[in-house]
Amino acid sequence: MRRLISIALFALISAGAHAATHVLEPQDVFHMRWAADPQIRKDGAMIAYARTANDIMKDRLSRSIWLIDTATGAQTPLATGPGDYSSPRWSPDGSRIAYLATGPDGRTQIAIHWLRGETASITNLTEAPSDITWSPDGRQIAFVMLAPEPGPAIGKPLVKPAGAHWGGAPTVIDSMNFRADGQGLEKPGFKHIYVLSMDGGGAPRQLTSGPFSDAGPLAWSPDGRSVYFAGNRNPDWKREPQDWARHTAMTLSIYRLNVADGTLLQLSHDVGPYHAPTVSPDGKLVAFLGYHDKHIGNQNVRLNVMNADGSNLRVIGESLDRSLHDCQWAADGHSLYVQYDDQGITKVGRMGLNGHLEPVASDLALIAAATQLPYSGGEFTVSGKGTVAYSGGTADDLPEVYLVRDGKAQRLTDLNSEFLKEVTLGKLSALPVKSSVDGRSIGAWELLPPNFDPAKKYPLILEIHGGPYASYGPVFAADYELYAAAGYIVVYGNPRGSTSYGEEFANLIYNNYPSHDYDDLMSIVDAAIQKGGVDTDNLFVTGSSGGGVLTAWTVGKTHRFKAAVVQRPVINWTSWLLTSDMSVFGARYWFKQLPWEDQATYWQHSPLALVGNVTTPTMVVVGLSDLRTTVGEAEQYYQALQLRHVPTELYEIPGEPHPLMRPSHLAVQTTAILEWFGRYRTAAGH
Amino acid sequence: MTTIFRILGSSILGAVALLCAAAPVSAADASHSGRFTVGDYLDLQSAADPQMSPDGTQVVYTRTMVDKMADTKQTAVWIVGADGQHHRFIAKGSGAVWSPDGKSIAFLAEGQPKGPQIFVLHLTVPGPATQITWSSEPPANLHWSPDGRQIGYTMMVLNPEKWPVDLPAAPEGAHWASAPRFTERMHYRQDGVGFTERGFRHLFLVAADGGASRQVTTGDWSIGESVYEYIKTVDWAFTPDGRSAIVTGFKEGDSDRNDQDCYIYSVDLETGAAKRLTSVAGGWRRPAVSPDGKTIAYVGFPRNGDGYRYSQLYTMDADGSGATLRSAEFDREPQNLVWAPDSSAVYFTAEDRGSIHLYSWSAHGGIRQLTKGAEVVRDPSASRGGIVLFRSGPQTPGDLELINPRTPNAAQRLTHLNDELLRRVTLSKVDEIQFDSTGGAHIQGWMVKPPDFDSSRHYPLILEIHGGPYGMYDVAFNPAFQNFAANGYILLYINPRGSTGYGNAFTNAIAKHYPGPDYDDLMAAVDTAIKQGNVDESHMFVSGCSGGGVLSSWVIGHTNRFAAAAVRCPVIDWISMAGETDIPYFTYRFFKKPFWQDPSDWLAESSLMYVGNVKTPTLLMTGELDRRTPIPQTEEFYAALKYRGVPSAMLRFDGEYHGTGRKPSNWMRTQLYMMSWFQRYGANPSGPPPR
Repeated sequence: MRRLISIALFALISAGAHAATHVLEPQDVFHMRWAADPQIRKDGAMIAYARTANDIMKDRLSRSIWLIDTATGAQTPLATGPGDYSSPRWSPDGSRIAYLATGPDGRTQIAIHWLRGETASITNLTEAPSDITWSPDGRQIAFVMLAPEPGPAIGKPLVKPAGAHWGGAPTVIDSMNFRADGQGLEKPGFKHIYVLSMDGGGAPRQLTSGPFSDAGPLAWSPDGRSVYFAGNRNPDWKREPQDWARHTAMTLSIYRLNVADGTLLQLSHDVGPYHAPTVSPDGKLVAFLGYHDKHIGNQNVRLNVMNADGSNLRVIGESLDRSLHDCQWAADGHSLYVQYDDQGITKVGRMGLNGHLEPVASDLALIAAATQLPYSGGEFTVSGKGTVAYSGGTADDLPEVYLVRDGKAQRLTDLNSEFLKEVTLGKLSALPVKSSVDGRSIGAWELLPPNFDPAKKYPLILEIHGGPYASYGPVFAADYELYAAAGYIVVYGNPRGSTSYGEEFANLIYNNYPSHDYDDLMSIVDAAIQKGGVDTDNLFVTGSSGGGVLTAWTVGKTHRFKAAVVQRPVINWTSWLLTSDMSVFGARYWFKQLPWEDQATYWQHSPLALVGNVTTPTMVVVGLSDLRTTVGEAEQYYQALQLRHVPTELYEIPGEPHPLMRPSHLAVQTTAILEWFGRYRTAAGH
Repeated sequence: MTTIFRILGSSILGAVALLCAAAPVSAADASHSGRFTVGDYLDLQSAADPQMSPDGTQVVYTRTMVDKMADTKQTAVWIVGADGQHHRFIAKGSGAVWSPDGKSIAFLAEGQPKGPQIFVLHLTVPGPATQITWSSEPPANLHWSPDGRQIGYTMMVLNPEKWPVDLPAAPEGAHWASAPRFTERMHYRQDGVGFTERGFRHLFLVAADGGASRQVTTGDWSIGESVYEYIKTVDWAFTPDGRSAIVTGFKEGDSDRNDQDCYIYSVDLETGAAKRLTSVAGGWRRPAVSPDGKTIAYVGFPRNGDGYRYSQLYTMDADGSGATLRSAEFDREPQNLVWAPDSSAVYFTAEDRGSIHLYSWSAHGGIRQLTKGAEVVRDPSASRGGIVLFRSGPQTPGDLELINPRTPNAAQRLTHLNDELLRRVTLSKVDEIQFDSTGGAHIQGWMVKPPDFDSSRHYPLILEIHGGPYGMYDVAFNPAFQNFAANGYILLYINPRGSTGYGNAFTNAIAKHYPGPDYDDLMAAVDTAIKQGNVDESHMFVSGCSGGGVLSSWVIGHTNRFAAAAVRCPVIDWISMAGETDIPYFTYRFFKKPFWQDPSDWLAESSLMYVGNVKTPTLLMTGELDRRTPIPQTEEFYAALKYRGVPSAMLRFDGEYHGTGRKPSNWMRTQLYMMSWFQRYGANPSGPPPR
């Protein structure tokens, strides 16, 4: 569940170039391809996945669905062409694939592809479906979709003369959580579960209702009578913190829905974000993720198992001090495959019901938006035979489809071979770091420029991750390759507060952020300098979101950096808390009290409080549709820097929510950052 | 219209003045019972900017009315004889000025290729007005040259910031996202406009019969008073010899970094060279050149650190020598400076205790007050025929009147814009109250009671608070207040400390302490109103926009005596405001030190820090486009109220900048939503819906 925040807080990219003498260039963002959402068939013979690229004509991420024959590695297209195709899901008998198809009209429909050749769109929906899930007999598909409602109203509408062109009526808002980054003002309504018949066709049937939002993923019982899901049917749920990935309340319980009559049974009763139910092959056990909520900064997401009626609930594998991101039953019904991040590296393991964890796969990778930063992450599925398909990456390659068979991982796709052949990339290596604060080991990496010459000195960029409860890992990052291509050493790492190093390490910044995470970052820079090759007169710093917070904090604490770029920051915790789409979440989980109750804590951790110390030239970047770290945050910092006559520039990107969505914006943002640094960069040795 | 541009020099508000003060008034269709409804607002018409012909026989003016179909205010140039005869429409447009020979007028109207352009109409020959400019930016502030051959005007010369980067070209036919917006300026946005391009307002000349225009001034400085160059009225004038123009501006440094300084310059019309006439550092504005060309009257103040400083009247010789303070004892702010045709006197208006009056200054007689009583006069124009001005009172939306400065109380009314409307509605009386507040302050206020007021009954009360905070509620006809009263409320409004029109000391009583004593004055006003015996104490409401939003949100954090509140376009959190508003310098001046040195008073003066006390159900209303008190301020308060479970709703007004009623439909909505909210919390619960 913490991952919501991290996903929320960053953005993605990609890059590419020509001729091996060639370094990565901004326009290469349009040349890269990568794999996502690998879905292995029950028999393990086929994998469907979303092949992803930045469409140079539409300036957007565009996905198509491809099939891989796991025996030969041969690939065939399933859904390609204009539009966006995603979420392939195998029918239980493996003869069909359901997927989501978004057409030129922007509407998303459910389509079915029969492996023998035919394809049909089977819905005519006005809202976008998600979490499509086949029934065990392959005759129904359950999914989640918004059931629109009229918005709140106050007063009476005015009557205007016929034909008049009056200004629009005001927007009336009366709910606590009323907007979501990437979406804008929330569309009034509630997400509910629907079921679609494969035989009769026709309109889907709505199974749940009421003023509550129900959340996927969904799980059918093997007898096809029930669907398990997560929801919050507490009347006060609207004032709950939100789960941004699903736009539902943070407190979630597992429910069982009777498909025939729509009746509900609440199975879990503990307070916490319980979600992702999955049913054992024999239907007797339900596994799900979540934890007892202590309302602190970071908690490990745990694997829970209960009987199908909710009894005998227990937590599995508590000795693993890592957060789980997915759980899928093994065919034997005695263990589950789980995904977790460990010291920045995303892994899949097989966890027995006795809690024993056995490693299965490592080095998973994921690209979630237009920006490509090395955030941990990945996706996997497991076949009935225990073979595991996952999206994996390396320091030198984007996410590809991998398959683990007989304990050995094999790469099945090679989407960027031609493109990468022409490009000389930087060289990534682990950077050993001890924190100056308390000697803790800090995970860090160093990317050396292509054709690095150890006899020379290079300027250095410290790039800081967001979250703050998230982690970076040793995977390909187009943003960094572009910096490296411009002759910079890039260093990055996981200061205290980062996930994947255990709950205690993450919570060192609870109610205390930023703090010693800054010192850890400086230790990373010091370690890079000590290692050599760094021109210490030319140090630069940047980061987005939580990384923007820490960048602004850094220039308020030290003058060692030549220039800085603060991207999508929180500058003032008070105004941020009350204007962000994570308002209630921030208040509940990141601070102990509210701004008017304990202003000192809010102010003392606000980068704005330190702006009086800043002399570092600092550019401020924000997307104009950002509802996570709203434009007002960037503006406050820019205006204060202006008043203090610190060289600054406000760089506002139209239409962009918190994560950067347009590839061209990644390209121009990177050139702007490099030019800003270039203005203040001096020749080595001067 | 000048109020909205006075922002740097004076009020934060601007829009409040537009909303609540200078509006014309009322009438409705004959079907209703005589109450002043929101629909009556649409029928109000107003006159502004009258200009008397050189021979004193005719007056041109700008008439404003609501376009019910387009949901806008529409302006037109009208003309009327000084005897009130031959009153007629000239053209859609505004800002007409007479040629020196009195045979032609120049004015601004929508033209080609877009936006306002200069038109000239020859009144002595038949035929339509002639468009004489075709510029891409709108010309403004027209003056005829003394020989009548040219028209001078100001216009923005855009010089957008550029940052070329080496972005690969998009393939033909591709739909790439648009480029980022960037700025290195401190002032890069403006309420009423949005985000601004870098540009400078310069002086131009065009032949009165058309042709190419010539840019006279050049460089990275603007004609005008401040960095707010996109929409503004600029006071400038030709000298009578036609060789130079007297302008205001700031060319002593980077205007983007200039807070309050403004100087008067003499511009050589041949060379464009500008010579500074006011030598003392400070804010010197509104130059008016005497008809004999010898003297320049102007207003201003030496540079200072005050939150607000009244401008004073000065004169100097045309070459800038002999600057002399002329209003040392006056303690009011002269506005609208106009010379008598014989150069013997300067006429001006000034705010004074809820009224705006006409004054004169002469070298022999000093300052004399010409108009008296509870009324408001605006826009004086003088010529041989006398002085024409706009005059409004508590129950009179206002018309143009002609007065003889020697007998200023005998006026001749030239227009009758709203007489029919006034015949069909019964207006409320506006009763003045006076009372003492803390610290020995003596405060003035007014109560607008329902038209059928019954002294044996109790009425719900609305305390409506003005913005600025450096502004003044006046006694001019106020359609919003009349409408509240017509719906059965007692409307209470006052000028608390910080208001203008009561002297420098009164205005600066909130210096480095805003909100502060103004709260005491507001509560004393409510106590005074209650003492009169007709207020239903369990149904009192508080509201205000801008500075009034600051104070109404402050009020509910300090008392629970109000049954509900309507907080409009507020500042909730001064620290975030400083970075979000289009007027950063103005905001910093409220506080002793920048917040990074000492945030304590920034926090102590923020309503947000008292939200833990609020129990009052609160309606928040703000324009989606507001750049003065941007909507994140409203959102901060809304989230805090929601978090605490205080009943609250947020209304985001479509297409509105600062204020919520610039579009007529939104003006009506503002009234109706407020009264609907108050009705929800007990005002006249079984009564008819507000109208």
